[in-house]
Amino acid sequence: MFIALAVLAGNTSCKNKTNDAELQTSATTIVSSNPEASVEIKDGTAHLSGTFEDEASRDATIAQLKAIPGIKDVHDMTTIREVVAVETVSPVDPAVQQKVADAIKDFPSVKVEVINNELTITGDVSTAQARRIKESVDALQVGNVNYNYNVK
Amino acid sequence: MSTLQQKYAGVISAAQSSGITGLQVQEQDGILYISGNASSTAEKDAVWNALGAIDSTYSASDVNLNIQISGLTSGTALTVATEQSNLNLRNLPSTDADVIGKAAKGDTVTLIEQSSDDWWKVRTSDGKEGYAYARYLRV
Repeated sequence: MFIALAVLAGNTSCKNKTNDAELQTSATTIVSSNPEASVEIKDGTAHLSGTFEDEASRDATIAQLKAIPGIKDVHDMTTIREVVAVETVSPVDPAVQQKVADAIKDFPSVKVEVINNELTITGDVSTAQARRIKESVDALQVGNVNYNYNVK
Repeated sequence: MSTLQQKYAGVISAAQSSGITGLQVQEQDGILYISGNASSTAEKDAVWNALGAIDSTYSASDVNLNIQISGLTSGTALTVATEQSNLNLRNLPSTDADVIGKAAKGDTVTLIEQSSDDWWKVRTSDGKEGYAYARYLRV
């Protein structure tokens, strides 16, 4: 009985490595249809990297990887080459104006205007403040923004 | 590779090497849009530092960098990273909303939910709950 248990335990500890190797073979076969992508299996998780033409082909590959029995998860580290157009919003939209106000509230020296339907930001700021403002405003995706602040 | 992609190649490679997921790089109307999701502030900072190495005043209009920290679970500990002042907790996700609590710089607060990219609902160590501006929270 003890021997049987020991053998079982031994088998279990080897099994992960064996599984990863087997899973790697299956996963590589799937991913090899895209020469710019690669996959690495670690502890049952597939780490997918490289470039895909579009989201659909990436999602299809992820779905195929997930369908391999034994794959626990797929970690997506890929880049998409062609993506749908970036959806920008109008800087005069009241909801966007509120978000802009939120973003610059803590910087009283900073002024934001909409000139020719483009956000224009002016005022004296530190480098750290400029970075925070750009982080917040870039996230709004309002198209062209004139970062005309004076960085000191 | 386009001129803009060459100009900001350092940002793209930083995003790739720091583990940004769902990375998208795309040129539209003369702006290079680089977006993706980070799992920590350090990952996000690595990408923004790379931009700072190219555009030291963070004033370039030809690049749009949108790295969001996503997928945090409720209960995650967050550090308040304001410049000096206290972080306001508000009853709604807007700077127009009432301030219902404050957290000091350096305090740890607990994430309740990532309500949007801009506003996260948090709980302070003394049990106050409210919405805080996400850019002042580090994870």
